[in-house]
Amino acid sequence: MECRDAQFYLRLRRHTGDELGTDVLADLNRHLGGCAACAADARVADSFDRAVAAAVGNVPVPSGLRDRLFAEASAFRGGVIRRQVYRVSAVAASVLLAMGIGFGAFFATRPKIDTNLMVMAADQQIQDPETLIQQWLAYHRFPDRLPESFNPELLMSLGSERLQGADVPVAVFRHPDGPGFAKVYIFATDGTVNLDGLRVANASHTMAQVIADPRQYRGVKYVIIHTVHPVGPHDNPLKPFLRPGRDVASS
Amino acid sequence: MASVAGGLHALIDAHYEALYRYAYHLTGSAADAEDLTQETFGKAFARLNQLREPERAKAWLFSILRNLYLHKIRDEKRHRSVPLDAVGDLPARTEEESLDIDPAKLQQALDELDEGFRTPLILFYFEDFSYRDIAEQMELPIGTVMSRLARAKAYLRTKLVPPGSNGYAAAGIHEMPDKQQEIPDAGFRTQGNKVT
Repeated sequence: MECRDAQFYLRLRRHTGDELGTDVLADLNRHLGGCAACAADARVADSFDRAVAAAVGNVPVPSGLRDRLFAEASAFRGGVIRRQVYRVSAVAASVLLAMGIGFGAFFATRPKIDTNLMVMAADQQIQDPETLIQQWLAYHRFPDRLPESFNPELLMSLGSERLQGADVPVAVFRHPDGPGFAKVYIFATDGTVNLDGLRVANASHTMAQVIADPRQYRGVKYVIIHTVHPVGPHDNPLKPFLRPGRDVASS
Repeated sequence: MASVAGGLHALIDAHYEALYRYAYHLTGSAADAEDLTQETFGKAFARLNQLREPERAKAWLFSILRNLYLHKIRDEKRHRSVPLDAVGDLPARTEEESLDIDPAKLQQALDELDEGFRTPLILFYFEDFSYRDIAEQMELPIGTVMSRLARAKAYLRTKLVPPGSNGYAAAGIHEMPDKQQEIPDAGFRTQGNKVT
């Protein structure tokens, strides 16, 4: 190492660590060992560095600075708390608002029951059951008449029945002379319900008829469950529930 | 929140004195240094989530302080500095003796330096900062930092060491060669530092 390089490195050498790298320091020390002038410069440089380092650290720190910084930290902490409170409040307000809107929508759209409408419908069932049946069929977009000429005056109810996992529209007619009923279930053939199992069936007091004529009744199949009553050998088994004079099977 | 408060107080206690001294040497004014220290902590509190390595808190705080200071002097455009080309012959070497440097004169000499030379010099004498730390803070290559340090120290000596007292040999110290020549590669390769 030349004196010129040694002088440069002397200005970068530090008391702490060997940031110049072991190779450079080894070269430098080797040079200082053989060069009295640079060795003297090294001692002066060390002395100078120590003196400057001491002077750099010899700056009195204002006595109140720590307290002021602590106060600033407290103010910052207060700000953090306030922001958190604001944030929580904002979230709570948003939740309340959303709940309010949700409840409002729920209360606005929930079904409203009115007994006036109920008695009006009951009156219509008594006064004009045939129109009521037509309105009910139209509401469900079913063919505008039932598959048999049921006597509207025997109508008991129009509604739906939970049936083997499906809600099925059903019109119920009563027997004119005593216990007994005929239920007309209407199934849409839109694939939402598997109708492969629809077939004629009998039990001790009831029987099931299936009416499925796609040309006559488009988009639907009917299952009529009715109580069995004595009728003539050529009479329609549904005869008690049909209009007088319409007792011949239609299909 | 108690832990947050405790953390902030611990951060202040650990670093406020060094930060104040750094600010003082940068600004040359006790009032400015105090303002700068408070602003630094204010900014640090707000950005505490950015401090990913707590052991680097000191370097992080010093970096914030320096940026604030640079912002200030950019706004004020008031700082005058001497070009280091003005460094003349250094005092001739005499016998080694104990130096006692007047802090006021030191500050006066620092004030005369451009910030780009003053900052590495101050950080160098804090001794907690390695060349790599200084280079990272100043966003400079480590070779540039070392070059500036060497020149700044030479300048400091001309200002603080009276003629006829201790000093380097006049030969060559102030005659800084170009960067590639002044910093031989060997020393940096051993540390794995990038030299540009």
